[in-house]
Amino acid sequence: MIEIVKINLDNEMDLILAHKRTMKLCELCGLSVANQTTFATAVSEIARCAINIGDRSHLILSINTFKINKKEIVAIIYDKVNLGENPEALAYAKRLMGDMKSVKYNDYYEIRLSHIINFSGTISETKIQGFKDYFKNEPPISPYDEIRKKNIQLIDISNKLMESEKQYQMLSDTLPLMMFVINNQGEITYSNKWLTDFFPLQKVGSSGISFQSMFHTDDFKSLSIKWEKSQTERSIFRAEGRLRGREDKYVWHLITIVPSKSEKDVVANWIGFFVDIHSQKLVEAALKDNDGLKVIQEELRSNQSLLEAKLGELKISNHNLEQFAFIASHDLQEPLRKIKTFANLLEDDIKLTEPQTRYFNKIRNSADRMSSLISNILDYSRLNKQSSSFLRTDLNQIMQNILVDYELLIEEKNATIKVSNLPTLNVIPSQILQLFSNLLHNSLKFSERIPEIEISSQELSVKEASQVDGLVNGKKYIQIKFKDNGIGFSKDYSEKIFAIFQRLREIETPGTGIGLALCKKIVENHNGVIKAESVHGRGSEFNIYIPDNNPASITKE
Amino acid sequence: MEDTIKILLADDDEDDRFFFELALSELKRNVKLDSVVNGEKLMHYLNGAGDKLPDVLFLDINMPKKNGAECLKEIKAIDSLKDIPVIIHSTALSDLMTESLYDNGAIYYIHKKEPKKLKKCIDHILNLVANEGLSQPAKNDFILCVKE
Repeated sequence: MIEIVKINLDNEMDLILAHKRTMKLCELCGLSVANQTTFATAVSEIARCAINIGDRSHLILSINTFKINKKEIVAIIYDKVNLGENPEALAYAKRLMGDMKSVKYNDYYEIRLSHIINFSGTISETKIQGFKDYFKNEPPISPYDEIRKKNIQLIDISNKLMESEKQYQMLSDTLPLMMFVINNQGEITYSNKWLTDFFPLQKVGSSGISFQSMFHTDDFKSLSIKWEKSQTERSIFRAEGRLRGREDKYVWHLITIVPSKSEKDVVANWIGFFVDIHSQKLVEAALKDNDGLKVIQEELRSNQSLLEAKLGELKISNHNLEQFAFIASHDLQEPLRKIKTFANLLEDDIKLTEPQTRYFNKIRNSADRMSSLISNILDYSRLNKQSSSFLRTDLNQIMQNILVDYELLIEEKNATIKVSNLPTLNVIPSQILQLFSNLLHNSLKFSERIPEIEISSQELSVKEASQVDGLVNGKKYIQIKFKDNGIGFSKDYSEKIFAIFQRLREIETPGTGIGLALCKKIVENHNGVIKAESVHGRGSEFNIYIPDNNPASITKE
Repeated sequence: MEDTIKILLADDDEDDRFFFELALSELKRNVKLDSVVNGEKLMHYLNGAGDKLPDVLFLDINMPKKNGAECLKEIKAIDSLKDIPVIIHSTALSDLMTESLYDNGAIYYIHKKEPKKLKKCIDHILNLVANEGLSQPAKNDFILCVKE
């Protein structure tokens, strides 16, 4: 270690000298200005401490060679007083140069600071001798010159700081986020252009940041609770919220406020950022909505399968009911058949008195009535069966068959029946036969005068069909009309007569109350509508509307 | 004098058997009537008859233990029995059922009716048995109707 220069540390002038010489030696050794300043400042800090509280303090600057050709600048402050006992004094030096200790050798406490010299190969023995000579011949120090020099340096540094701040401002203004600094009092001490552009001016200023005015009312409460927590814990605040901008426009932002800690671990400032995440939020919300949609869809699907299951159950139950009606009707016919048969056998076997004959007729008539009631129920239950198929059928043919069936009754009633030309349609023949048969039978049955019955048909255009209640729009229909001059019925009953077991006549009139219900069902099986009109005592008119385009069933061969 | 016609009646209903006998007795023909009361007994009777098989079988459908439709199938599946003419004598049945009976080889279908009318049907059948023999008519004529 080669000693370059020794400085006694007695007064303020010595401090300036210590600083100046340390700077100079650093400069001679080729250290950067920043490093010169750092090292010299650290040395001066300890020197100041030594001047203030030390005894016989002095500083020796040396150059030390360690390893091969590795050199360092070494500054040792010697003092009778242990400066290390006053750590407060050394804190600043430590922050600049790292940890250092006060160690006692002989009578003096030594504090050693060192700085490595880069490219120390160029620092030869001769050069070091030159450094020594430099300090020997150095002119005495002038306080005025030194102060002036320092001033110039300070102005220079302040200019550089301003430049740097300007660059920082530019940078922060360029970044697409709002930046600000707030102090512990909540006052904004710095903000970039984005922030002032976003908020109405009066809301940002030294008057402080008001969460209530900045955020959406819905977000404010949770945010302020979180912010208070961050302040007490001195931890990073992170949240998402809607900022209220100009014209009360709300925009989603990511909010980050980071505590800025000083060297003493004290929070003096908070640095905040607002990042616009509005579009992400919208996408997020859309995705969430989509999830909602999926949930609804799922519910819908499960409801549907539930419905299908119920429908299946209903079908089975309907089928069972049909089955029951069929079997019940069938089995009920059996005892009736026997009642009639035995009644007939008995009548044949014995000679009956007048009242006995009447009673026998009563028995037979009741049995017949019961029998037709049952067979009508049977017919009705059979109508539900899907086995019936649509065939292209000439309705005139069906009508002819019915007229043959009713030949006797027609003759008996002396009825006139006019049948105009009927169409050929896709129908379930057996059902249409039953329908026409029931209607004709009703007309013959419910008459007080000589029956006059008219059966006619016409095609209805789409427009004409649209004027009939209950028909499907946009379809052509065939209208078939049964008109008679019978007893008719009151207008109030024009719907009711089609309900099952609905009887308008007193019990003496024959009829089971199923006939017209059967008719309605048959027409419905043909996708049609049946309507009844009547003037009481003047006759009735039944109109059947059947689409002209029911498809024919595919028949198996 | 015609040969005795052997008739077998399978019906579980006592009254119906009575009506049948009544109708038959009024015909005053040379017949011998045997009756069985259910499907199982019918099959037992036929299987044990050897060569004394009936000339015609009147078969009810709704019978306990083994119904008429099952019996018909069984009879047609046994070589020694398959030529016995089978007349279905039953109450109203569904079209589907009627059709399957025809397809399984029954010759006629007679709805149960009161003895006066039944008599005419039986007479018609017996005439066929005695003369040209019984053979399946066209499907439309399967249900036997005899004019008054």
